[in-house]
Amino acid sequence: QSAATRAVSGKVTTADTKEALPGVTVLLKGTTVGTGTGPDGTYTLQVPEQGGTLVFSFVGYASKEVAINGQTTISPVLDVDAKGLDEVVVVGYGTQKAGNVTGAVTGITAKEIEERPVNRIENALVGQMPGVYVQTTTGEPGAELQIRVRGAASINASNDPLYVVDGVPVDNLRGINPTDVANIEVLKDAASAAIYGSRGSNGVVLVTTKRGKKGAAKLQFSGYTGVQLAESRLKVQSAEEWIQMRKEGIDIDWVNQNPALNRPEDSRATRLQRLTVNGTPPSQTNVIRYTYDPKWQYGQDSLDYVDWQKAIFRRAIMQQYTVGVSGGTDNVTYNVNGSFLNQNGIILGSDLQRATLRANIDAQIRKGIKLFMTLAPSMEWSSLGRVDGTGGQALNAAQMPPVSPKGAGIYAGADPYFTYNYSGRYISPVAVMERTDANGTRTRLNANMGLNLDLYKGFQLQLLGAMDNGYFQDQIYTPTNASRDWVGAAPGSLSTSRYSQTFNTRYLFQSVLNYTRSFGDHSLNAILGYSVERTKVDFSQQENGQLPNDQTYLFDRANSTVNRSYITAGKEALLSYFARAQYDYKQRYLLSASIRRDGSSKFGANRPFGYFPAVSAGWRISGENFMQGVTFISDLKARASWGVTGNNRIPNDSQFSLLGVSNYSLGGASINGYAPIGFQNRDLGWEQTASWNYGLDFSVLNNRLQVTADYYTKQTTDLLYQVPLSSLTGFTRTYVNIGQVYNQGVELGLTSRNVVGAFEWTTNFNASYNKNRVEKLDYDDTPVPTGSSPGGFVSLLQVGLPINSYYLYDAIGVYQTQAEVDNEPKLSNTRVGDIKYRDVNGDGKITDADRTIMGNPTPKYIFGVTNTFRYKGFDLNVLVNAQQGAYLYSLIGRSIDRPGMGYLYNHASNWNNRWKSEAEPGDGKTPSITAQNSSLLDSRWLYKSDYIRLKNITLGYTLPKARFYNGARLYVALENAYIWHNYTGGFSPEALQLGGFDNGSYPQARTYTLGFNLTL
Amino acid sequence: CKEDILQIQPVANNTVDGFYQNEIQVNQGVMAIYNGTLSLPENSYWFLAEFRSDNVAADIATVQRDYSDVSNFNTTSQTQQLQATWTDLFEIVYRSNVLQERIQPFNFARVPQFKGEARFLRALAYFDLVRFFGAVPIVNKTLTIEESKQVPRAPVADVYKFIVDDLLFAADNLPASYAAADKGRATKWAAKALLGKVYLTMYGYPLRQTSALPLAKQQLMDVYAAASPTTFSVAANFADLFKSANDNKYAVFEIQFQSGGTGLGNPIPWQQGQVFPTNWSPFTGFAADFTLPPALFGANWPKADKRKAATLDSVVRNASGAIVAGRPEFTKFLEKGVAGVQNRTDYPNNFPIIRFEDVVLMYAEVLTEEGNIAQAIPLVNQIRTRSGLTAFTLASPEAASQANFRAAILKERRYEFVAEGQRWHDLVRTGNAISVMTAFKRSTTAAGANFRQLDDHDLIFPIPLLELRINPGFWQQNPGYN
Repeated sequence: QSAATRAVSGKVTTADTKEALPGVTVLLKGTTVGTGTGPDGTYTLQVPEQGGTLVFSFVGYASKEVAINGQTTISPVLDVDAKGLDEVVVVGYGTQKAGNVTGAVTGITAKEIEERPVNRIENALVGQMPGVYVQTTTGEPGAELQIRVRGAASINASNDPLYVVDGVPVDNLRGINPTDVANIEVLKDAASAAIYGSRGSNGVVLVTTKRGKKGAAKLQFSGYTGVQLAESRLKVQSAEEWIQMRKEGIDIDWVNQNPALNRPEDSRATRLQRLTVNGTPPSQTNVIRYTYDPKWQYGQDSLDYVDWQKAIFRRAIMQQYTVGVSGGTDNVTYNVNGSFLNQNGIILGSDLQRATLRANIDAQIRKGIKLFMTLAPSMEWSSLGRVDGTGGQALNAAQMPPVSPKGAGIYAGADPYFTYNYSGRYISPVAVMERTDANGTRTRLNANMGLNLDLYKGFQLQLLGAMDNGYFQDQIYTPTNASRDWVGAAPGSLSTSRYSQTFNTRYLFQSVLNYTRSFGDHSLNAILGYSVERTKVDFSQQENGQLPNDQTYLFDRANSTVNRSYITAGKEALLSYFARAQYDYKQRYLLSASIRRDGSSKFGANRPFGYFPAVSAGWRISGENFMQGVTFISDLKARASWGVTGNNRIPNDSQFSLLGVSNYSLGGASINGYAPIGFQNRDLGWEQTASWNYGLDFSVLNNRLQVTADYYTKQTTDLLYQVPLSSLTGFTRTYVNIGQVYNQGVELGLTSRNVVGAFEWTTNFNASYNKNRVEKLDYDDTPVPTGSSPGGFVSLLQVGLPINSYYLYDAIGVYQTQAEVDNEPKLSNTRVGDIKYRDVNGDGKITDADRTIMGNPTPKYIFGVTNTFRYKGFDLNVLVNAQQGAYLYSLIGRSIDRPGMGYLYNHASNWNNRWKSEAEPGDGKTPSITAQNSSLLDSRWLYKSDYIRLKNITLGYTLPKARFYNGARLYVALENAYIWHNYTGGFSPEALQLGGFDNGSYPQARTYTLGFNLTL
Repeated sequence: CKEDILQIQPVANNTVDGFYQNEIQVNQGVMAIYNGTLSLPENSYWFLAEFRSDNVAADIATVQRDYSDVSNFNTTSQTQQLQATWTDLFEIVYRSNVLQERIQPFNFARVPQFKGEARFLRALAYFDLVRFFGAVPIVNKTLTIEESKQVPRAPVADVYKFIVDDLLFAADNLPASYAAADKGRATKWAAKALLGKVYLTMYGYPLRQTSALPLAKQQLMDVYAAASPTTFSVAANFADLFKSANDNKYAVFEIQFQSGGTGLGNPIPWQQGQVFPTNWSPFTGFAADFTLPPALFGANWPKADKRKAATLDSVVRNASGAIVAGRPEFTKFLEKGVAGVQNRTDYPNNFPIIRFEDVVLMYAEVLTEEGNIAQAIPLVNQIRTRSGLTAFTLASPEAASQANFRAAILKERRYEFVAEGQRWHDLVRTGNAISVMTAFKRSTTAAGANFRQLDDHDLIFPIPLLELRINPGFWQQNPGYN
């Protein structure tokens, strides 16, 4: 059919600046016929002779539809589109007009995610929203990021927010492809989150995925590929420096061996001879202990010098591809997306692959009955880390001796290469990563289906059934040649193979009755709901050792020994009733109230139920008559809310006094024994947070500047916390509801269109301030040690102080001379060269009472700034985020920077400047290697974790429309472009892990990416 | 849907409610107390007692090792090993108290035996507690969280009295022997032997109660008289003592271990080992950074003493796989060529708490303290001749004075019990710890003569910091510690 066509042309201008607008999409409605405006804002388009409507759209402006009606020139004026007040915002169990929101809700949309390479959803939230703190605690591919909404309220229960995907609560966001996401909203205040009751205390992250729209099928491709490089490395001694220190250690041993005779300048020959004379035969051990390695004088001719960090870091490729189809008819709409991510880690042998599929389908079955469903299977294949934490290979690489036997190089200590005999026992981390076979397969099936039934005059019933099943299978195989004890070991003898399976199921059923009605200037929305959730986890693990050979990870009881073999299981149920009413008068006076009753199986028989009420109110001041003359202000709204939320994130069965298996053998046979392993607590219940929020939203200068400001307080009571017990009770910890934590904060969000027109510059700025303090603790407010590690604890909970405040001996230097030791306050065993501590209480000695509070791990301020520039088809996005006011205790730093390490392994490079003698006092901060007070966890490893990070720079170009595609964009991006910080204890100042430590977290990557988005 | 869906009973384990309902379950509660003793060989006897003594010299380790701090007199209240041992010992006390409370309603025949076992094991735990930490709180019932904060540290003498009471009760109520299926439970003789040792310790440092000496003598004499091939005796061949085939054959009381990968194996052969060739064991030693002192691994301990070969060894392989002499290690509990071991902590050998040789030597010590060297000599000679050494006579220089014979017994005890966690306590109670250990550290550490002079505060450990912080200020730390 060759319908006759004719041309329409015109020029598009802006309403605010009256300038020509280039790059505007001009589309004939309901077709794929379209074009874009040129640099001068003009366009020409072939349209049918009869009828038709043109749609003009451009980012940042409200689209406009103009019926052609036979006109030949159409020159529309586009209005700036502030976040439309009529735009719909997702809130719990429903949606609400943005303009009517009375709580503190913040969000991002698909655009922010699609325009740059994002490998996990959380990454898209970094620096985007006030009050939402996203921390990359580990750079391991596929690892979860940590999200904190308005600080941390809980001590032992989880501080993670509740994640809700398409209305279904889930445990985490693993396996969700970021480009599936239509928008993400975060419910920050209690009034918004209280509808999620017992799980709302840490905020709620609502993820809504894309659904189809009526129209011809749209095909979308997107993808990116990039190179990742380690962002930072630890400063350790070079081979030459290590040898120098090793020599000094040998000299000290030599002089101590016989103080009267031996001198450090004795030659090797003299030493060997004198060892014999002294009656100590120069065994191999003694030769190494008291004489230099003759190879040192030949350096790299005789030895391999190895930079171990360089050896395990690599340039790593990351790529992701997505293909999606969406569209629909009058009755059925669909959106189907598939993606594949392949991310090699920047450390050898750590990889991740992820494949996802998501199909969202909506069908109008008949009038008043709508069916919706989602099917979202995903799989992840990972190499299970092995880098993070104590015993991880990042730490290993830092402390490996930088000298290897000639020829052994980066495989020193790994079969067939021996360790360097002037060092200790070790195995090359390169060999461990390469030879250990670690595979984790995580399969997740998230599916839901529901019906919307229009009942009667505004009554609608929604029924939803959902399931979220995960099957994780981890397999780690360590062959004999990945063990440091391989020498002389028979094949297979040191091998282990471990196989773990987790199967978790979560079922949800909910029904929500919704009533919406407007009469006159009044409008009302009310819901009444019921939901029940059941979860079950089954875990099993088998590990066998001494496999018959090193050929395969497969094992059988017949040819290997059983190390472990067990299954465990847990169940949980949550039963809820909830109701909410939202009312507005002329969209000017806004009121909302909700209540939820939750019952959980996790709590004691006396207290299974909790009630979570909330009320909020808003006043759209700009809607009042007296404001009509004030043109300066385009919108002004004041909000206030109060609500109670809960936290139930503790392990199952915490309320019971369980019996633990405590067997014993008699007469050579195992006899069953049982002993209680915890206190029974029938009163164990919710942790509750009552929160106030006061907010102000306004836009000025014709929406050029939009501001959102909030002030909040959060009072958390009945803290679920694992009190440390006296061992006299028979236990060391138990969960109780004791204590109180207070949070307060201020949040500010600004969106400013600095320049509009052909060249456009928008700045999005957000800043948050949060402060918390412990208000009440155990029965008598006894301070509670936290952050315990082997060797003690570094922080505590104390009334009046922020959670987990560091409580340390303050290291102020080194005792430089004997006189200082004699005259200054000291610990009992102190010698010259030891670390000097501040005598906090001034009693002239250093005792436990001289520990002092030194900061805490929660940042006071977090900032995010995004600057977006657009000109013609180009866009440039620069995201900077920052934090201030927090500290981090580094255990990885300590492991290479600690007296008592000896000389065998590598040290942080400051040990070149350690205290050696009164004549060679070093840098005044690094003590003698034989310092006596070596095991104290002191302030030497406490660092400020302030940073400013140039998180992302993306430069994109939107190609002019062409016949064979609807939209096309190319971009280059640089993630983690630069970071300013003073953290030298580990790889990243964000590496806050469990207990407030950096245990040697996987370094973050700087990633250079090239990507595209294409719509057909 | 009904609200009873919230009533989810734990899938994993039983709960205390509904347990202790019959004799079988009460017996399982007794087993749980014994289970608490499984950690003692490591956490009390090896990592604390043996490393603190002159039987092991720990090098400064590459990473911070608690045993190195123990060995080098560097422990602080934050030394994790102290917390671990403290918690383990009080776990035994707790389980004993649970049993004693839960057994109240019953009157089946084994009730006195079960109570006796519970109190014997509680005494065993307290004996370590008081020797390691000095004044410790006396806990004689299960405590609530609140109560646990208000238990004062009892004076050392009171703790000993508590121990003595438990052991007197146990001695009165425990049977003299058990049927084969129950072999390994504490007997009346175990209680009396331990009581003898407790009295002997009360006679020494720090209480120095002379009145305890005759009490010790009475108990030890009783046990000595009860020796027979079917109860306990001096092993004719020293090495036989530690073979799992001879479990419960020679010793008065042993902690029971068995292989099989069920968590009931003995970890000590691994902990005390360095490198095992595969024909010794499929699993190699832990290879802690320690060396054996010349007094043991050297000419000072003559090879003629058969105990030496049964106690020590040193084997490492060189680059070409050949075995060369090298790192000395304790192989006392390692049966070379052991089979059936499932992992490195799964050795089958029992660990002796009180050997009959201990009873013999303690009896000899009591006699020596009484000035009766002539009677003590044949007792000591039982051990010496069995070990391939010449017997003492009244003409021997060792018998020339009471002091000499004391020293001879101390030395005999060292060789007999090395690696069993006795040496440190022997040095302390005989008042030799400060002088011996100061000299030892000056001869074995890099600090050499600069190693500090030890003093009384080094004879006990600090109270673990986390325990002190449960109720800050309520307990005072031991002197000299932070």
